[in-house]
Amino acid sequence: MSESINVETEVDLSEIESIVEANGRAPEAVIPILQAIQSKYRYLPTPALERVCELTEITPAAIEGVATFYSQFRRKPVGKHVVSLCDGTACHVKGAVDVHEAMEIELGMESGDDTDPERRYTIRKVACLGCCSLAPAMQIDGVTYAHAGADSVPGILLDFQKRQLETPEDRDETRRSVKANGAEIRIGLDSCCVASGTDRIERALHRALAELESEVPIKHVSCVHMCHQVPVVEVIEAGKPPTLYTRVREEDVSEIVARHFKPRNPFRWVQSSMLRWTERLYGGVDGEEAPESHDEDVRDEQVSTFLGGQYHIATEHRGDLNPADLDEYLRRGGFMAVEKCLFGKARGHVLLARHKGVAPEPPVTGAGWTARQIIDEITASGLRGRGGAGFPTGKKLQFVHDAPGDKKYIICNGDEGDPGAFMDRMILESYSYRVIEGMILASLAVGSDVGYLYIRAEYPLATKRMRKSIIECEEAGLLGDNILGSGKALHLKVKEGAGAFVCGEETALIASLEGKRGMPTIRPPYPAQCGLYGCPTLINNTETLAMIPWIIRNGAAKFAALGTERSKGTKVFSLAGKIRHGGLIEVPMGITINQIVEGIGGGIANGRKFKAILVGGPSGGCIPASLGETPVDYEALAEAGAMMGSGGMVVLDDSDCIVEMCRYFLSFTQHESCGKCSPCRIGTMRLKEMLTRLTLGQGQLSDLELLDQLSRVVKNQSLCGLGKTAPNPVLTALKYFREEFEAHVKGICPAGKCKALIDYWIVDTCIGCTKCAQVCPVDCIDSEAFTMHHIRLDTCTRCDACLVACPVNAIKAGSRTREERELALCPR
Amino acid sequence: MPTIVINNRSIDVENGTTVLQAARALGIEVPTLCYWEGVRPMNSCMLCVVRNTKTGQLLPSCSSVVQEGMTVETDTGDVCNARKEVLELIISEHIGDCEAPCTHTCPASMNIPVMMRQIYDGDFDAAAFTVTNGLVFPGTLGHVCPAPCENPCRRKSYDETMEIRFLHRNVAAKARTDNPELLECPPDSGRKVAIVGGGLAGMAAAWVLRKRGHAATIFEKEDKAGGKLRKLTEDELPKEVLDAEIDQVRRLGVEFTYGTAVNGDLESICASYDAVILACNGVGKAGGSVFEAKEHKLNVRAVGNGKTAAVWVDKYLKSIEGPAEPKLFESKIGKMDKSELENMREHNENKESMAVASLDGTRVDLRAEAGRCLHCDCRKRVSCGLRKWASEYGAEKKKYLTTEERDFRIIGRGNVLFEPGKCIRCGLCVAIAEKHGEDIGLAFSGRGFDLEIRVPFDHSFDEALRKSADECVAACPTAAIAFRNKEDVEACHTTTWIELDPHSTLSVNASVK
Repeated sequence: MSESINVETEVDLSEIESIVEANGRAPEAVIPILQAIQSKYRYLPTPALERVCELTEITPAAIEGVATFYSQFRRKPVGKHVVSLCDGTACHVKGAVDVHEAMEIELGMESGDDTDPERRYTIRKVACLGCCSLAPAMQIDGVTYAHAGADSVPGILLDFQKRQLETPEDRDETRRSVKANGAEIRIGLDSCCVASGTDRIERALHRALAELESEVPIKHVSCVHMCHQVPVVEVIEAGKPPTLYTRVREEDVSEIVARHFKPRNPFRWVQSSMLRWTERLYGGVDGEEAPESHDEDVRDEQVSTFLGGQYHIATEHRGDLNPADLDEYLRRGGFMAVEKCLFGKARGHVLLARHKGVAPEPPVTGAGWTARQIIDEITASGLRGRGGAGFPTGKKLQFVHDAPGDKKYIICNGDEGDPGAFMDRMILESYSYRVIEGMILASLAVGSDVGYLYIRAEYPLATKRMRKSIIECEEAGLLGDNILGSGKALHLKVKEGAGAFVCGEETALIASLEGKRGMPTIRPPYPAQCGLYGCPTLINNTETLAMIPWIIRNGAAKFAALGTERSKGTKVFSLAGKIRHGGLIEVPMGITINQIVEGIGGGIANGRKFKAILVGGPSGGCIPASLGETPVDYEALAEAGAMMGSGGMVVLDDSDCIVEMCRYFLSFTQHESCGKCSPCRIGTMRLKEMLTRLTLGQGQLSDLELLDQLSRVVKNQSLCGLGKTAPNPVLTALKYFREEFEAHVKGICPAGKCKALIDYWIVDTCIGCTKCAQVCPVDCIDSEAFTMHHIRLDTCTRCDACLVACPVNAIKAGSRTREERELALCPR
Repeated sequence: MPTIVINNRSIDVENGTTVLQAARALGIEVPTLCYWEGVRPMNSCMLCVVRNTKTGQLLPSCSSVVQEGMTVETDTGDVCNARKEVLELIISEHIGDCEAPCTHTCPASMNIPVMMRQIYDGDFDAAAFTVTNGLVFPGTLGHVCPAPCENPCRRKSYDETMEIRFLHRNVAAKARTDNPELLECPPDSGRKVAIVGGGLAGMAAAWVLRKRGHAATIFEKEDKAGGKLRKLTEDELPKEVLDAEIDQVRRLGVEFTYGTAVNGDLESICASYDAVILACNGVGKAGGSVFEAKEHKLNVRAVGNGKTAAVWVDKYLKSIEGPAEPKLFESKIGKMDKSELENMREHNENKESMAVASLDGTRVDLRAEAGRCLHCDCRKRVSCGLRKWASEYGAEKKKYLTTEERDFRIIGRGNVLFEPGKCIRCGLCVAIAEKHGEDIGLAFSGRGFDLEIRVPFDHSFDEALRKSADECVAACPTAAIAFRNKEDVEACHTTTWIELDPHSTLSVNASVK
């Protein structure tokens, strides 16, 4: 206590004034101000907050409310580095809990504390880092680590420490590619790829190319979608099919480069290949033939099935479009839809003007589209909101268009909170111009001149790219007071969220934009009538907006030709979990679950059995393998008890416990509930408690009835979408996997996942070698040499070490009935 | 002017009218906790739900604006069930005692903490009113009662029990005999009740009947009332104390017929009285207009039985079918640990009394002794909305097992006290403080289940609510925000329906058929 007081009194408040100056004094500036304070002090010191209240219109009550609502804000000082452990669905099913425990042990944390005694590291759980294909993922300060197993924790910390010593090489993202004889090397630089180490790969590529004195450019491309195979390097050579290398390691780079490009100076070639050869000889690269094993041609079966069933609209030009190059976007038909709507015809004169280096003049063409025409086109396409509920987009545009009021707003909802989904991140990172184009079109349809992009706090790259793209578009005359000389105006601003799942709900998002706690309000009135600052407001999901340009460019009919009767077009999903090939997929509506899992996903990894798929994240539900023929379509999914949700798909195999999954989801929604209405605030907590008791084997049969009943109460009586959908996982699980719940009541976890319900025991093939006892971290094995050993279950932590150590497979693990267990606890 | 149909009754309302306002205009009661005129609807408790019959949805009526052609139902089974479910969730995290453990234990349900505070305030007339209506024989019982109420006293777990019996004996001794308020009765109902047996049970029943406007006649076979108490020695019970209290019953208007044994001729009595209470053994059987108030060797239980029987008779005379008042909801904390008790003592004990009170075992200063009371009972025993609706909807108290640790705390050193355990997180206080333009005000802190009300930057509640404390206390649906020394007005000056409710009496020996 005294320590924290000392820390607080030493706070230097001199910079608060400039922070306030930069962000404004109005009440809605509170979130940016707090974010600025936190980036300066790394937490929110109370004296700083008091100073803010003195300098601005922000009241103490408002600042207290906001600072404690968003999980991004910390009120206590933190260690030197912050370790963000992803607790998303995909990471959870891949063992994030064990990673967390291992990290705490490695850092010597005292229980209940989040910072190690030396205050070097602070651990925090984050809802989702959006790297689901790389699960389990974690971030230390800005560095993301993928596939972080419990055993890799020491290595990760070591690597991080090593990185601290490296001088940061400034990476210029704007670097334009100049083709050297048509050749180029492409690497993805979205968060997944960066997490898997593309930044290092890129540096290695630069080194390798420099060594060869080669001028082959390295091009950053949009997300390649094969997130399970990152880092991916694609080499393009004139007149040859592109070669794709997947899972590239730093040490493979020089080999890859050498394969394709000859050095200018032949002597260098020999020297460098000699060097590589010796490196390998002396173990610079471990045993396997590294580059070859990672070489994957696009024509390879695995890749082609992954990309085969897909259709790219929101993710058009996937993998070969430089996400940070406006010219390239324009060359590939970008902003043509805007031109079409403004002037009746798309001429590409923006690009032309840019080449001439002049401001684009409005072309002398026919009249532009009316708002009515744009809305009709969208309506005709059958596009429905991709945020989850599937409200017809055309209708929503119409409502906002018809709503009385001079001032109207448009908002791009990029607050992707589903812990197991990352398509909004990918779209914002890789297709920022397309989202801007979609927003311009939407603004023309509803008659708005101000728009906001509300982007999750956990997506720094998306925010950065988006801000940059907006400036570029303003400079190019695509945004601002006079879009392409048409007289229409649109100003876009990026607002960062601060870590609250509920802000994906539109009324909560608006509250957050207004600088309030993200607490939803009752609808009606809908934002279309009374939204941001009481004005009619259009809120659309990022993906929805990204689809609009394509529809305008290609016509509604082409979009409507895809999909099913009531769900048109395509949908982007992030496919993760126990699947062989995870990643982002864009598929036509109507594709079946089986086609996604078996076809695109390549089936279940490790030869296990497909058990269920969780669609729509914590608001969705699970669909059992037996309903694998369910088509992906709003109504069909709802009928099965799930929902489209934002598009997270997490695949479970037979080693996943459905009760445990429900507990996980409810603990997520319980934590993310805003706390406004009692059915959700208390109900989700009680549901979580009941599920927790079940996973601990303390449940009763009557609990299942109560679970079902309370789920319906929370579903029917909560105020907003979060509460209304939170029980979906439980309701579907009870419907499809009731016997698994009943088994838990009997103390058995059929999947062998719930630690409290699994036992380890030794069978009579034991040779009495004591190896198990030697590895046991808690000394719970009675081991007299050459006699059968015995595991004391009361102290056993189920760490699995003994089972691995046993040379004769005499140790068994699994869930047993109470009787069997009692027998084992007190043997005859 | 949109039209709405509520429970098949139609009403035209102004644009922007809420469903709740429309229902109230029709005189239809819709329960609310977080609704307060003058601030925006909080949409927190979700108790005010009604069913929109067209969409089948449950709507929070406080914030749903009437749309043309709306039809809603406010009182169907599923709507009531939805409300009950919500109440059960809110109750599942409610930490507080509605009534103090002593009151619960007293077989006559005397409101002991209220008496304590009246003594402490020096208002002996009010205290006399409380003890007399509670025990009818506060002086007599002050001598003969074994004081079961002192056993569960929280103060006992902290240091020494409150000397409850000592206090009510002394209040009775100090009370003015000519206090007109004490002997006030409502206008005559015209109904007559015969009571067979002039023991404590019979006289207590007569007292309550008079207080409800009925005429009461006691038939006593001896020549004096008081039953077995007459056999006690003067040391055990000074007879003048008993006689004075019997005389007070008489002065309330109860008629005593001495030397009249009612053996066998019950029928003739039944014929001439509207109801009969049997407060003696072996006379006849209860049934029809005949009720029973068992005498009991625990004298205070006899008083309780008498009071309970009188309440049943009152209901019978007013032709109220079944229990008129639903079973009263009781929130109970249960056993408290030392640190919880310490927190309770810090906030509730009246400080200046301590020095005097702990001098030695014989506490002569009544005020000092009364000041030790920990105020275990709730400051909104009567006006608490949660208690009211939980009682009305029959909410189950222990439907959900909880695993979280009990967090009993009282916060606030000044005039305003805050009890997070009683808070339903509706945010009315936050909104009211904002409305009054408080400099500090209150804030929601955290989110989800851990949401709580806090004063920003660790200021006190008094500082936070300089202008708005009165409205916050009035609006708070429970006693989460309350004034240290102010409580429900009725609770101080009248005996409430709570004490007289037969269900809250621990032994319901009176039977009705």
